[in-house]
Amino acid sequence: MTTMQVDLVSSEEQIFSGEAEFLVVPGSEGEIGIYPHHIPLISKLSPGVVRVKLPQKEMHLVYAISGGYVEIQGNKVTVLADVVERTDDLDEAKLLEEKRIAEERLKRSNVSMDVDDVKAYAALELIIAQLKAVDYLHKQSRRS
Amino acid sequence: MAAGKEIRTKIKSVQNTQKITRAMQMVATSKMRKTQERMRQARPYAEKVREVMAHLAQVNSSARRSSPFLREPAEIKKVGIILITADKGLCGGLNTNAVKLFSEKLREYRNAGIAVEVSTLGQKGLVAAKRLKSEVVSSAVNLGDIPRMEKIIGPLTGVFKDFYEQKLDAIYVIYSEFINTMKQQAVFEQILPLSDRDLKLDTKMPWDYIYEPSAEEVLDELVRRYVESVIYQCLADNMASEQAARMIAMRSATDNAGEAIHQLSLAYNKSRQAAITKELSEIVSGAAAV
Repeated sequence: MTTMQVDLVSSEEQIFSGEAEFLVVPGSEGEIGIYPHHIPLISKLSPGVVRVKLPQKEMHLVYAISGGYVEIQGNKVTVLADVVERTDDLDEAKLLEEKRIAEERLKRSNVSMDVDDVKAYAALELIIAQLKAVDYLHKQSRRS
Repeated sequence: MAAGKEIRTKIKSVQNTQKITRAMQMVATSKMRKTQERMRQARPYAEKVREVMAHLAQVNSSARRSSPFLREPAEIKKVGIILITADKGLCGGLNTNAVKLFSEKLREYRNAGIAVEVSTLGQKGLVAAKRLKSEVVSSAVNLGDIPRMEKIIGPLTGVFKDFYEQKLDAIYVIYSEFINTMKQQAVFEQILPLSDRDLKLDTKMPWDYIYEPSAEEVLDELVRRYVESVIYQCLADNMASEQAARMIAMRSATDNAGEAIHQLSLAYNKSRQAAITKELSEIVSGAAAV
């Protein structure tokens, strides 16, 4: 099977770089699945899960991102993510607790959003993305 | 023997100071390595964003023309300066040089009748900007030893918004560039509008992308991210400079303390010798008198 070059970089460091068979990113207009030789595309990304299928591997690599951009040209895919969380060290119970705290905070200040609320909101979106990633990992391990 | 005792106390105190400066030197050395690593790690992102943005601006000229970020202002009425300094002192002339450059530029603009708004990253810059009675619109302090994107996005957002809404005609940054361990230099660079150098591509690629949502929106957001990553790089540079400068400053402080200890021990030995000689001659002359 053909592969494509995938680079996943966050503003602070390079997270992943290598060949992949298939890639799923959370586009702002809907989830985008990318196979090799995709047409050139730039899309905004929403908070969500990035999945990478490596050649000759059953399991997908899973990352939670808080938004960013994906660029496809030639046979190269670049994911420019704002914040990336690796999923190998995610703790579901802790995330659920964080989610609850963030939601409560946002409930209290529903009308006028100040800077901290916006930050809390962004944090919440990332937490939700992480939870989705954990969820996906569970499903994946159950299948295999 | 009173003088001898005083000198001994003094030596002790210099030794204590030397211990502190040596510890600070070693801490700065290890932190410098870490910040340099960070500097290197952030590079792929900045390079990638630049590539994509440059390509987009080249193939899609209508998006380029309509982007407020890429306009060339006809006349400069108000500029924004982002002043990056360290949070702490004890790092030689690093902050002083940056602040000096800042006050020079501030004077230049004031004389030319151009208004300046300032955004500061780092404690020292904030204090200096307030002292110089400049218009500080946003600031971030306690940046820590590792540059964090989330710390700088807040203060930058306001400045970008002003540029976007055409309240500002240009944005500059002042930071200490890391040249090597021995040399750091305060520099003044233009951030916005982007120069042609930033948008230049070596190879011609005539094809266009599919855009989601729209080309204009994508370009504006990319420029924003690019500028943020440039500032992030500046901050990382500044932090590496800070640690390097502190390391050098503390090393010379340690050396100076060693020198001072040497001088003091010489003085102490001399005074002790003098006291012994004096006592001896007293005894001898006492014995001769008898």
